Amino acid sequence: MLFNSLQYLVFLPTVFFLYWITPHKLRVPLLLVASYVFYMSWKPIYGLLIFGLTLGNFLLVPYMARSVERKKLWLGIVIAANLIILGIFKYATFALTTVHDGLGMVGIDWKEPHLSIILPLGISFFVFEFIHYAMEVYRGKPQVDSFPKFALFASFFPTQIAGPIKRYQDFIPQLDIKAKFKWEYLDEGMQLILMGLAKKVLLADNLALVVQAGYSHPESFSSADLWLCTYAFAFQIFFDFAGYTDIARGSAMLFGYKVPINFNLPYIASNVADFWHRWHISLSTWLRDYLYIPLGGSKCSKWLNYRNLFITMALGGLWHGAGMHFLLWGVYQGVILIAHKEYRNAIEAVGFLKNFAETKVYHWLSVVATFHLVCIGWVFFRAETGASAFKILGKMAMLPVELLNFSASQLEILKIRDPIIFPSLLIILPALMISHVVVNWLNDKQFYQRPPWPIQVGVMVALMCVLSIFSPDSSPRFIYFQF
Amino acid sequence: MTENMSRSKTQVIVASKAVAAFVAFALLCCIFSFLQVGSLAPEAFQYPTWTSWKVESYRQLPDRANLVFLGSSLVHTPMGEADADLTRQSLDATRHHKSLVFEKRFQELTGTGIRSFSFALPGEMPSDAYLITKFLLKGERRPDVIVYGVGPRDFLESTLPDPSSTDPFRYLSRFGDYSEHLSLIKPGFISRLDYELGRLLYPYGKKEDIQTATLRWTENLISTVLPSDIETFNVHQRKKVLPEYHPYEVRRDEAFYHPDQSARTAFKDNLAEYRYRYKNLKWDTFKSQSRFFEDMLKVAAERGIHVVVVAMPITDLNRDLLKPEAKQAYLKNLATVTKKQGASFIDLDASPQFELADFADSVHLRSQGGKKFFDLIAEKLSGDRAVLAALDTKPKDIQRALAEREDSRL
Repeated sequence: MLFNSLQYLVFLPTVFFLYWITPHKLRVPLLLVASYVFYMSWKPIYGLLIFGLTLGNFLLVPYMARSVERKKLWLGIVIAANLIILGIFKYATFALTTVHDGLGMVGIDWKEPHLSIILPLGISFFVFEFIHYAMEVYRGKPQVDSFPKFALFASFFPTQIAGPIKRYQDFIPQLDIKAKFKWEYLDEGMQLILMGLAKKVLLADNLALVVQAGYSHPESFSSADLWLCTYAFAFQIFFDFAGYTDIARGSAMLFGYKVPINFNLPYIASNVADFWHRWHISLSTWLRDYLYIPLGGSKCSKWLNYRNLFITMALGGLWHGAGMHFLLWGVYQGVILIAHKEYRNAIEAVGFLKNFAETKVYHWLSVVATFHLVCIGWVFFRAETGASAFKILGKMAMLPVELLNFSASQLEILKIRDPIIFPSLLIILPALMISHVVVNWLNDKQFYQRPPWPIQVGVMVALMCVLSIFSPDSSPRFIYFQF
Repeated sequence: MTENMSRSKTQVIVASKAVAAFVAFALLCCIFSFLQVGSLAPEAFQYPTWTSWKVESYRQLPDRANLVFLGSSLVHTPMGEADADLTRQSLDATRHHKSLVFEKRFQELTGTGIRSFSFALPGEMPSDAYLITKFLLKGERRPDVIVYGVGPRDFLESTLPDPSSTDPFRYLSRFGDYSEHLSLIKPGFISRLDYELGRLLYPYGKKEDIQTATLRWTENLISTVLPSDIETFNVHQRKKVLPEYHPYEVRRDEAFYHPDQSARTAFKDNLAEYRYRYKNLKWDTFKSQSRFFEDMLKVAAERGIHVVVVAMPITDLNRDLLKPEAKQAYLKNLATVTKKQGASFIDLDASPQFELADFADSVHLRSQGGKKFFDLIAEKLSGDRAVLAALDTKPKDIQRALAEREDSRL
């Protein structure tokens, strides 16, 4: 069931009303049933998968916690079991294809078996939540005693398919609160849901048209066009995923639950490390806590630290999808994070550069540079294959040559007048960038803490009208659903 | 008590920004509905498709057409190609909506000049044929005769979610009220909900109109800013980079029937496509489309239009893909319903007059097959008293036409 579907428009209010008229002790079972209905509406059989994983983790983790001498071994077993399931569903075909290609390169013609496995929605997210739970219990945190609560932690429908990746210490205690209905839940929830839908339907889905054209047919576009398509993808993926997160957070808020934020204006990050503090925060903190730190983190030699960073980001890239281009994206992130550390050390070693680095001019130059570094990474992420990514990057690298004799007529996107998003891109992209800066300024002024009542109502009404008019008959799935 | 209740309602609205927003939105919907904000004429389509060209051309015909063809691409494709061969000219598909081959042969046989119009559309289902007949073939534009070519797919298309999913439906539904068939057109809960939401919330129900109006306004605005000397993409270039955008779109001077075109192309094996279409027979679709088929015949009969139903020729290769019960149900239904509604029936389903060489693929006739088909239809119609009477051919002329036809047989 998609958040931007009519099914959800029926499902969410139904669960909302049932929830608030149900006695507290029945609310967890109600949400659990609703979450399974939500999940199984796509492929009923996969309900067994999430249930089996939940039951397995619920039974194995206490066994691990009780073990004294073999605790680490049991942790390894729990993590391996989760990763094997994830691997079978997500990476088996990729692994076989890679082996086939590898053998082909040395002249061995091996016919790999054909696996027709359909990736279960959200598997990467709930498997990471299970691993987080096992790791925290291993580190001495309390276990969850109630199976329904544990099952709801993993299957909670607002965050089930694409996160944010929850922490059980934050989520489970909320289930015990005997909350009474407050209008604030409805207000905040509706605002988030409407904002999320607007981000998805009005911005991400329209930008997707430009990105689709540019990335499917790079040969039909100039270097400048491909840069614009890449900028468009940067905002498409942001609004798609941030929109999903807003709807997830808003849906949870309708029941009085808070789930973590996932984005904090990522494109005003002034360096790549800062970017990862602002982008997909629940994933980056998971990778930090359960991969980077166990590998040794930064409390080791410089080269070991770089190794840890590289491995973390490369595996983080692969988590996004079973494809060489995702791995390349992760590797790229690792490399630029390491390069940033070296760059920062170099700047700090030179007196006048250190002073310049503290100026506003440097800060905004860094924001622009970081945005472009991130955009180059998005090429690996969006391209259909690694080879295609390099082809697009190669063409983008020719921009300086193209700019020597530049005229507006060289921009292919201006030649496409329908859909209107193509020629509008030259206005929309700067506006989206500026909106990041404006929202950041409004955050500083604490505007969002107490916006005037009529403005909030007016914005909601405007969004309802616009969404009613521009809701497409069929909207593309959220990008992060595939992960 | 009432005062307290209204006060508490007001307090709820004021207490909750979301409730206030819902109330304000509902009020706004009423105001928009009253003012008919953004509402456009039915023919103001967002972008041109086969359907829009046909509808526009039919409404602008200088003289009423006496005979209208209905059907899917099985009728549409060979008609244009056969005419291109006949005229030895390339014909713009967005402008050519008649069968010259048929008109010529009919004139030869009966001496009666006829003005035909083709409302055959790619993917047309009986539900679309019903809407065309009901909303457009009426009043001053009422034809005397409808020739409706059908194939098994029209009734047994398993990939069709519901009748409202076709491109013709999207446009034709703008021309009238189809609520009496709502349970057939929107059989699922979600599609029905979508329809009811459209009735309840004006901006949602009129979203296509408001989108079109907004886009036109934006396009005008953008074109004032953009350099005018830039050569824009044509539809083919745009379809290359955005293949899924604006399905069925076709522009003027971009789709042609060329003389000898289909004779030059090799037989295309499209059996896999049809195997998929027939794979899971949906009897609900069959029943629903059969009902539209019958209702279309009823509407025509009520308006004094004589209908000739033609079971279109298809290859044995394609027919063999059908399950025996489906094949039987299809042909039996055609024969029964046409008889019941007083329509004529020409069964060419397994006609030996058509050979494999007449087909461009397993179902579509190529131009030579099209020529054979329309000649054959003209001959059949020229011998059909009901057709000749409907065309208002004088009794003497009918006798002469029938006698000439007998002579030509001898």
